[in-house]
Amino acid sequence: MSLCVPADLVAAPLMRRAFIDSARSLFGLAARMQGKSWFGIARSAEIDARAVMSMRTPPSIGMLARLSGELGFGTATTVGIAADLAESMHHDDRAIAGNPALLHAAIARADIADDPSALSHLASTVWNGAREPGDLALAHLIASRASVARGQLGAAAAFALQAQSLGMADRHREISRQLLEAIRFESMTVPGGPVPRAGVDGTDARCRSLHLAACASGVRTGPDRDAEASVRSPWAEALAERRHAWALVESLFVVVGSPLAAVCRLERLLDRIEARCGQTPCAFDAAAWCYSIAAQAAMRLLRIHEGCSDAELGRLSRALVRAELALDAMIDSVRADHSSEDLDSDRGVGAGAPPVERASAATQALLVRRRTRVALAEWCLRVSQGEADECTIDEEDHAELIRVALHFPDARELTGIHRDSTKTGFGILQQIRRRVLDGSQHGIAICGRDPSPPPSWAVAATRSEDPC
Amino acid sequence: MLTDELGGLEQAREIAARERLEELQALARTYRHWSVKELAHALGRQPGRLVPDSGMPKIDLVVGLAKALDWPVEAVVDHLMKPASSSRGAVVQQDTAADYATLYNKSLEMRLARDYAEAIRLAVRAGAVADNPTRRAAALIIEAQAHESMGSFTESVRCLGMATRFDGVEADWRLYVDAHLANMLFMQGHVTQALGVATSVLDYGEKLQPTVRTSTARMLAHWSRANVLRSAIPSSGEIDAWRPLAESARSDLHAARDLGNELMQDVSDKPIYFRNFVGSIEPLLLELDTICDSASTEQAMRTLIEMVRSTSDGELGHGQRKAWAAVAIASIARRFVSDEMQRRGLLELASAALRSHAVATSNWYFAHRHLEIDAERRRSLSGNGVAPRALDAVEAKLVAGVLGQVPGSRGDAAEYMALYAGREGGRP
Repeated sequence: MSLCVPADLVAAPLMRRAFIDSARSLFGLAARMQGKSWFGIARSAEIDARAVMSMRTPPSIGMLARLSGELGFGTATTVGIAADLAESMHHDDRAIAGNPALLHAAIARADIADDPSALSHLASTVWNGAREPGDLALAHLIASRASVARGQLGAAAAFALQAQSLGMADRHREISRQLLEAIRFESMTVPGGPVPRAGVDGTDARCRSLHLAACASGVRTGPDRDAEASVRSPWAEALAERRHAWALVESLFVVVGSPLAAVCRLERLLDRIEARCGQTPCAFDAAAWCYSIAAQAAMRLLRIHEGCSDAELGRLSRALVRAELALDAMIDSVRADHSSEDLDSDRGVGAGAPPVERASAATQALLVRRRTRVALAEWCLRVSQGEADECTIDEEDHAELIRVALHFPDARELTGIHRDSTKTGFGILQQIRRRVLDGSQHGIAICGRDPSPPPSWAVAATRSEDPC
Repeated sequence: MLTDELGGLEQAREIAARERLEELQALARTYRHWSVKELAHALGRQPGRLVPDSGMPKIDLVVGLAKALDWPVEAVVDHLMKPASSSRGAVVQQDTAADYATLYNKSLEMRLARDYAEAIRLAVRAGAVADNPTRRAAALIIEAQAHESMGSFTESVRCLGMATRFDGVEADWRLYVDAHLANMLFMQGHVTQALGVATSVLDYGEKLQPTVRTSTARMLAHWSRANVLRSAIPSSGEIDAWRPLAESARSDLHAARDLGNELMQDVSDKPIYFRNFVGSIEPLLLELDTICDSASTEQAMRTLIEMVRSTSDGELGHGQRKAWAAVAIASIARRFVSDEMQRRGLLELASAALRSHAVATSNWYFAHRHLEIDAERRRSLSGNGVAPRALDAVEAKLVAGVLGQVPGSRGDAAEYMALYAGREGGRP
């Protein structure tokens, strides 16, 4: 069976072995702490010591919960330690941190996969292995890119400005440029992001500072033919296409022109993506990016050009629907591809379609993430136009809102309509957060490993007295 | 009868656990746009065996689920294991909003008297009757401080994280929460976040009218930022490139010291906290001085050794100052002392000071620093064919405490287990 889902989640036998070893290590540590034998600690934890000694499958969290009492932690902490211990037995990040080529490739891959978890992990890897101040700046840039992928623009701006103040290193120039480009353009198209035209769409000071940070960092962003020619990474095509789409979208906002001209350019972008889509595996990634960029740009234009003619609005709406349908079709095709592959595999037919037509697990995740980003923008548009109503939300909308809430922790804030949340579909976002995690004892942000991003100073600047 | 009752409770728990596991799996499927079959494949299970009868999944399934959701493992476990209803509300029925001030002040008194468990209980009760967001945040701050004092860093960060999520907290209190959070994040090894939060506090703190609270917040933020930058400077290799960063950290420490001195004057009736704080800054300034001007290394080392060897007459904060001096000694020794025997002696001195302070105060930051130095010593011993000394109960507690309370240390967890606890297995 070769379903196209990440095989490294847990299934690898080596990882299972590592889980067993980590549980045994914790068991030994508890015994040393208490000054008892293994049998003694097993008796007080009400665990069968022989089961621990001859363990062949990873332990249950019930067993770790009993052990946590002996270690003096809560169950979550004990399971967290066991998981991280197994991970550190299995992987050694220092190898990546010490090899610039490997490191840059990993960052580029995480950036093109729009994967905030991988980016956050890389940020701490780079920080821990820093050999010069420029490495710290890169760590902050990666953290900023991760925040942008989660739609947290305030945190992204703070990290980008921090990177700027630390100073970029020459040896990270190319990868820094790629990250800054993504930070800048993604913040431009995200709902609530800066639009480089005065008085349009309510720009926010934090987003503006992010935009300025990217521009002022000394690393040029935007299309660069020389650099494109020199890039030989497996993601070069996706990067080049993404760059092209961003440049075009930026010109739609910056260059003063008629709405009709903007619509025509957007349609040409969609034609170009369609022509190239599906030719190579990387074209899937490129298409995921370009369609989502085009869809978000269309929504921005719909808000900017509210006063334009019905015909132009109609063409813009069609362009938006076209991009969304294309993304949906790609997700469906990837899933259908996996199902047939699975059937072929079950029948012993072999690998099915040739590899160029197959999308990787990362591409599937990217497609879902980009589609969800578009969904977030669309919900913002619907809410701003008064079209989102709790009563009209069907099951599919509900699933989409759950996905939005899981991908973008600040989804309500991004829309700028959170004060009105009970009257709109975004009330669901609040419910999901409350139901799933906010009620838990842990209190970590709903998504991602960052315990807390830099704060957004939305509070009134007033002085208060002692609470007593 | 009792057996039946217990059996019923167990059954209810299993049902609740199964429901929660199913809920999280449904969320993962929605998040990833996966079918049941795809989720089962990713988690390494048969589609029909995704939820065990007991509701208690194996750790590999929990970790896989956390990865599928892009959540921390702890968050998934918390959701699976949390009690059916919050127990917090039940214990505070007798209190009213009018009792807030009494509970708040009693909690502070209990913390000063080192009865941390009681301080936490009182802070929880104060938070439960708080009638506005600022009061709720203030109660969480004192709860966080009590948790920190008793060595529970994760609980402290949880309280501060909760306080940051309240809407409508007064700006100076919010600043104070964030400054504390920055310091705790630094101690837990979340350095990029600590730097971001501290910088935000400093950027915004300038815009607020100076009060004891805003000045304390700025002092803590300067301290946290300086510590993040200081600890980022590597202990080996070329140091010249790091000089601007060291200068930046040094100016932050100067700012923290100036604010601390001002605050000592402002609160002349109870200056203990600020006096201890200012006392801890000096050793770190000496460390940074050696990077900015290597000629000062010898004098700085002499002063730091005196600090570590000094004895106190029950003076509060003396132990903490010694521990920071030990941190500085270890850094300077690694960077500038080339003689192997001398270097090892200095590291032993630092390690012993850190260990004794960590054991006495459950400060896991210092325990982590001690383990790092000690791990280096053990590595060199095993290189010489000498067996490292056996792990005693105190050291086992330090290892467990560091792994539990300093998530930033877990990248080295496998090495610590190999060096200390006779870990099973190893890297392939």
